[in-house]
Amino acid sequence: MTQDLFYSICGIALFGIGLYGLLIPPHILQKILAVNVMGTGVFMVLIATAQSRAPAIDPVPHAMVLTGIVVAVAGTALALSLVCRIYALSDDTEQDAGR
Amino acid sequence: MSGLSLPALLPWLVGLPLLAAAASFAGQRWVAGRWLNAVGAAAQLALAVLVLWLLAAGDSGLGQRYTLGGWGAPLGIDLYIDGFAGLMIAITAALGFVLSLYSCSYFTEPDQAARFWPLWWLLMVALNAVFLAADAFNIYVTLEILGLAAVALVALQGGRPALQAALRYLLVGLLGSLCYLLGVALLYRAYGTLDLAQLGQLVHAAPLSWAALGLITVGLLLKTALLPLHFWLPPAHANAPAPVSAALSALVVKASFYLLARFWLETLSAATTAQGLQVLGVLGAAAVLVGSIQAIRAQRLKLIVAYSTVAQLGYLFLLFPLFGRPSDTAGLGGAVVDAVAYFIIAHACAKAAMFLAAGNIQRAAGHDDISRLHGIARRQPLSLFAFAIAGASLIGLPPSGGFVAKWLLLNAAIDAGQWWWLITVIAGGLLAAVYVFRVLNLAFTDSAEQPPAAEAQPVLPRLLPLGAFALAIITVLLGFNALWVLEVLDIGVPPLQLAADGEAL
Amino acid sequence: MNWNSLLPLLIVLSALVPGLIIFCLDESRRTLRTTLNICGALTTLVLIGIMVSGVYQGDLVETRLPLLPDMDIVLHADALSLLFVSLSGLLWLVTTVYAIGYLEDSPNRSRFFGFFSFCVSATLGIALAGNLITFLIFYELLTLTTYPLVVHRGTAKSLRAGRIYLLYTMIGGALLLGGVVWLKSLAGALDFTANGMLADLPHLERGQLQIIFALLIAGLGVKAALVPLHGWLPVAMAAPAPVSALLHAVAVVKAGAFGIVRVVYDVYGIDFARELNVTPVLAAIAAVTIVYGSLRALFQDDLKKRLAYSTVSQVSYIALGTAIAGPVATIGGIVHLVHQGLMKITLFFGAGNLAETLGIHKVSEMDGVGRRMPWTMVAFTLAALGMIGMPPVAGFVSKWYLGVGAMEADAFWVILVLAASSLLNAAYFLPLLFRAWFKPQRGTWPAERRFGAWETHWMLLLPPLITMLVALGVGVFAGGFASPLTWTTLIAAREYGLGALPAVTPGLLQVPLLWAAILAPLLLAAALAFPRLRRRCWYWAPWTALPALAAAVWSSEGQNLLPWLFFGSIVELDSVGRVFLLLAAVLWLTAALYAREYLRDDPQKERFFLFFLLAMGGNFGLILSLDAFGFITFFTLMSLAAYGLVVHTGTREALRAGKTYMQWVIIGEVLLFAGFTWLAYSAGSSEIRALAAAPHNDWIFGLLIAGFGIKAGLLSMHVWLPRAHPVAPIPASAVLSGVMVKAGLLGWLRFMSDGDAAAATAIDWGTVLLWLGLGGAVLAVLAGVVQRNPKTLLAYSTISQMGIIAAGFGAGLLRPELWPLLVPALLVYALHHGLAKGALFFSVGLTAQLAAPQRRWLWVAVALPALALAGLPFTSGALAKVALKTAVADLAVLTAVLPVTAIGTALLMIRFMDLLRQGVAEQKAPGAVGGFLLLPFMMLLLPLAGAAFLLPEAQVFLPALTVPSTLWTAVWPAAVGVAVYLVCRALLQKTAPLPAGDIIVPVEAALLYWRRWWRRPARPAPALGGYRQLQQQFARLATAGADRSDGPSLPLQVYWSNPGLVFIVVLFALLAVTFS
Repeated sequence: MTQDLFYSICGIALFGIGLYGLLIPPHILQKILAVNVMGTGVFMVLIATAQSRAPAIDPVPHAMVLTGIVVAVAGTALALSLVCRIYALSDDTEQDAGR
Repeated sequence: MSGLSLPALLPWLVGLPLLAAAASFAGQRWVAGRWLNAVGAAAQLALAVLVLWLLAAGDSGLGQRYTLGGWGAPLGIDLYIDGFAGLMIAITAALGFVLSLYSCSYFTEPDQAARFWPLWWLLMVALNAVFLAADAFNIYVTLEILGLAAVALVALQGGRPALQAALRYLLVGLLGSLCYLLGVALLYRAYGTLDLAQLGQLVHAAPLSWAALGLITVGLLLKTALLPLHFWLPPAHANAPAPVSAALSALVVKASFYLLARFWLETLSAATTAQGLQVLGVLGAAAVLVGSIQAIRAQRLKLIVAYSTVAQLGYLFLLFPLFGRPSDTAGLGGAVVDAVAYFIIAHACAKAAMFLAAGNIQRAAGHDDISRLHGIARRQPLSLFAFAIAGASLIGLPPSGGFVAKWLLLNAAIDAGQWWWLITVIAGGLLAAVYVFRVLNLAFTDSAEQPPAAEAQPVLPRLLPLGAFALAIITVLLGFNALWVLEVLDIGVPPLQLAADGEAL
Repeated sequence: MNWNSLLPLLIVLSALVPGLIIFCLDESRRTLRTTLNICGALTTLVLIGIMVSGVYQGDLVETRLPLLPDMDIVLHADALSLLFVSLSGLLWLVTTVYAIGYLEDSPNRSRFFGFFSFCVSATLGIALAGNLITFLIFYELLTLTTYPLVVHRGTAKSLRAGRIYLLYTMIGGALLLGGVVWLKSLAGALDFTANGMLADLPHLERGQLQIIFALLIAGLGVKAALVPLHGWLPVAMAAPAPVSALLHAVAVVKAGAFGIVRVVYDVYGIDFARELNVTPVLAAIAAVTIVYGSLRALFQDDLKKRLAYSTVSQVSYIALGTAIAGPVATIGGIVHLVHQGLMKITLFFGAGNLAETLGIHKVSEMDGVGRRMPWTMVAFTLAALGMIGMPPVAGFVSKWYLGVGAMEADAFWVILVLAASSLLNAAYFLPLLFRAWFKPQRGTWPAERRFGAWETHWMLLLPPLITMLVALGVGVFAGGFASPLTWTTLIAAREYGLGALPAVTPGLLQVPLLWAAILAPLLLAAALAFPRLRRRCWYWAPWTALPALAAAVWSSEGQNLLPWLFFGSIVELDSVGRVFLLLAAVLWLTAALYAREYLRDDPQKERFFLFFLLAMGGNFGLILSLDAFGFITFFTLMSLAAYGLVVHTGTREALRAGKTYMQWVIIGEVLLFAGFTWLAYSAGSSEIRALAAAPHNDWIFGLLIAGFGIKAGLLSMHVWLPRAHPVAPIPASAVLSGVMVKAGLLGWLRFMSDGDAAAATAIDWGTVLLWLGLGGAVLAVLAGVVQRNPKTLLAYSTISQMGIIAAGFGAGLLRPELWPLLVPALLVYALHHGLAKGALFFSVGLTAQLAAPQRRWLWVAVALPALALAGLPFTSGALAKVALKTAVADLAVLTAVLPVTAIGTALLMIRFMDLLRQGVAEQKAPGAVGGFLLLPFMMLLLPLAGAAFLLPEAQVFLPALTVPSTLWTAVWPAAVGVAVYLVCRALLQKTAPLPAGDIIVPVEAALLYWRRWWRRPARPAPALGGYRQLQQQFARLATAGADRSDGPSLPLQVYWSNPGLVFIVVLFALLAVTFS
């Protein structure tokens, strides 16, 4: 098993863990974290892909990952701000959203 | 095309709304400035029309490509336009214009308006970018912009239900995007390019292609809200402000459908199977039935409209089984695409009109509970009338865009020899009649049980019902001008593809 | 774009634009709205006029707008569309006026009129549609625009009606859409062409085309209310009356029917459709619908519902005519499109007027309404009679052509359907008319409103009168230029490629006197309809018979040909007619004189004279008409008008007699209708001479013998006669017994006395008629002699005498070589009997005169007709008997039985004199009834003595009169009769009289018993009621969900109950079959 394949599989595993975290646990913060885990998994796959393109390392996936991180940050921020707003309106943070 | 170069105009389709977003953000405290947004929308519409006109006038019979910053594929981020994309751009601009006008009257509080306009323009940016993108990763980015802008717009209403719906929408959107991204990553791993056209030539049936296709499909289906994955749509669309609901139902869900169509029938068509296409069709048919029935059961006006969106989206998915597996030549075209594209346009206008009308009614009555809306026709005759016309289009009654769309769809189904879709289409129309007329009956019942409303009924600005009505009129006009729309659609389809169509059927 | 290519579009827009403007108008802008409405309607009419003239000059009038590749919106004017578009335009104007009056001061008028205009626009679009796709577009549009009209009132009931309406029409629209799309993909552009476009296309699968046909017809059938897709129509009655009128007469149901016509003729093509075997199925469905609709109408108490079911039934005539396949049936079907519209809209206007003015919604509330709202009810009555198929109203024309067409296509069962439908129509319309005209008002009206000088608002009154006149006009002037019939004939000729039509024959009016004879009484009757004229005019009634008398006496040779009247009217006085006209003129004249005296103090005398004059006109007309349409028209007029004479006194007995009379009249009409259409088919003409010469088969003989036999009181069909004749006022009895029964004989003579015509019969009709006649002649004596009422006795005597005449006619059928002698003999006999019977009836009224001691000599005068009837020598009776005997000398049976009948006649006459004497004896104080009664009586004796001998026909027989053996044969039966009476008198005095109507009495009793048993409360759900319940349940189930918008919404199956499910299953099955 080549190195890049190993990282790719790890990335996909991370994606799966994140998926589980997003779908099953009820707490909203868990879900938001889970989305980030999923994102990380995809990024790992991308980075591994960059390595697989030997001999030179492909810069394109790196650019994609950078962009992806920006997007993930924005999404997470929006989600958290929504949660805060909902929390302010009520004191119940148990959300079953995302199911 | 000596003076005006079509490819040079393409970035402006993205850039103009982006500028508008920045401007509206900067001048957000300037109350009178909100009307400038309407001017911006008009400019966008003019641009779109110009682009479309140039596209139609081009004698190449092929789409147009613009390489951003001079970086061509595979590295660069290209913009590409063909007939299908052009129409999507046009309908976006047209609806954007009407909805912008409407929003100028709708968001009267400076605070609300200040939050609304930048987001609104971002939504336009994202939509135009999605339709123009010729690069898989670029699509991811635009999808995310689209999702985030849409979520923020849904949350604009501020109430708890709206926030919850927005949050759910956001998580779903992120999930969808990540699935899509993973799919793109796999594609890049397999073929080393992100350009759609190049991918289309490279892709062949292989496990990695299938996996990528599966992930992309699931991600986009989630965003398109096809039947089993539609759960998030009704609350989100029903709780958003009226113009936002209209844009979401009319345009945003169509964007992801547009991508699905591109991937399945063009870029990744080598990896698709006939069974897969049929399954998508079956899901679509199920969506038509289930969505309609849910709409019939719904008790709130906007919820009815939202469920109706779920149902109407189902029709679009008949594209896949009817189109069949194209041969290796890429290109979207032929009778089935015509039908579905027309359907998208007709539904966009009708549904936007419906949401605006429902929003007006909700605002006038203070609620949108069907059972308490008797007598609303007296206060909002024009809105209800617009609702009726839009409803007729959804049912598929002539003369309306909906009728032409259904006619084309039925024709395509019979031509393809897949008569069973006929039943879906016709039954869907009948079910639509049930929920539309449930609402229209409001026009004929007087508010006998309601005491004369002593509290001053909110007086709506005149522009609000007019906005809904204008869209309804467009819906009707679509029923008369099908020919022109269909001509535009066929731009960008190589003649070869048309011939291949015939074989595939 | 030139004018011709713009015109159809403009017509559609001319209705659409006013609607749009009206929508924007404020509720209070009444004048402007009314102006817009009327202007819109008038503009449409003018444009239609321009278009008609354009098409007439051969211009191509077509608007073509591209919609999709190889799919255009086409508005095209051809003959068929012009027919429908003209109807729509005309009725729109009328209905608009009506609706303005009807909706005065009600809310939401802008909305109403807006949608109303839209609805008309859609209808015009349907009419002008040049291909199936355009048709579909406007068809769906019609659904959409009529829905707001149906639910206009906003009540729970109307909302429910709207839901059911939508449920049906939406499913129908979906089926149609499926069919059209399918057909489109098979056949390309679906332009309507004259002979259908599918036949020319190669490589089409028959099975697929059949299924598409089924889909199309199912889709159209919903609007055309074919069973079982008719459920929405009766429910939609919750709408305001003008809407119902529009829905039923023009827009919705007609759109469906029109569509069926288009699909069968212009898409499939009639020949191709027949080849595909789809038309028989359609015909069967239509037939079932016709009968079913009529049956259901019978049980509705709600007036509008009854009319609605009547629509269900009537509209299917169009489909039936279309499906029978043949030029003549096509004419019948298409022309019914117009005719039914005119009649049905009149009916709905009438019903609306009753509801709006008096608050009457139910049939059971209509008692005496004719007196309160005469004009409305006149319109209603005529339209209802037309629906039944009574000539000369439009409905008859359609039925006639359908009947003849059915014969042409060998679809004999259609005649049965038409007959059943006519009977049922009569059964549900006539009681209604009876209530309105002949029953006294019961209490106050439910909700009466007053509208100044007229019986109701003038805007409500005018429309029904106009439509009624048009309905009457298109029937009466069916042969006229540009009448719907001529127009339709053109269409049929085109469809079947028959080429040019025969040139119109010029009119000819050689003897205007004949028309004067017919019209004089009718015009006076029309004058009686006006209250102001009524007072003065009734007194002139006798003189209206003078033109007829003049025509009969002086030479009146020549023809009156009026091609534009009826199917081409021929009025002529031939030798047979002359005798009848003489008899009729004399008898009607004297009866009128008598009636003037007799009814001097009757408060209802004007009504009596109205019916009297109508019957008189009918009688003259039927004698003089030598074309079938005219003959039937006047025959019907006479029969119907006589009803008013029978029930005049209004006693229970009279009403019962009237009912029996009417039942038999209707049965007779139906039998004759069947016989005539058959005959007309085999003759290919409607001229009576041609009909008589055409080959008759057994059916024709049977139908004609029975049909006229009813009128002539033939044994077993005579039962109405002994009831009806005695209860009428004396002058009416005189004409009934004296001359009206002779119409039966005239019919036989006219249609069956051609020797060659009978060649092909299997049954020996002569013998049948002979024995029936002789049996009647003998048995009637037995029944009559036990009567106590002299008038009943005279009625039985009439049966007996008519029996002899029938036997004589039977002899003619048996031995055609006898005709030259027999016809004059029968004529002499008829004349003699008519005059004598009239005089005898008159004498019954002379009781007061006879009782006066100074008038003893009058007995001699009274005895004279009695003796004449008994056949005493040197009377007309002797002449008649001798004539008959001479003519049938070869037939042993007849010569043997004739003396027996003579004995019977003598017996009856002596009994009559005895009864009269007893009546006179009971008369305590001689009344002061004027001597003027004597005058007509005496007048009648004169011709009785003389006229018979002066007849040219009688000259042959005169020599035989003076032969001694003849004298002997004339005297001895009379003597025997007298002797028998003297012997039996005591017995007869004690015998209970046989109830009038003899053989029908036990039948009626059995029916009554059965009906009571049927309606026992122990049976909660009789067969029909059970079905009704089931249907209600079904309707409730189908719409339960939407009823309760406040409660929790109901589960899925409630919404998709039966209709939807059935639809899906059917669709599946059909499609599965094709593709398997």
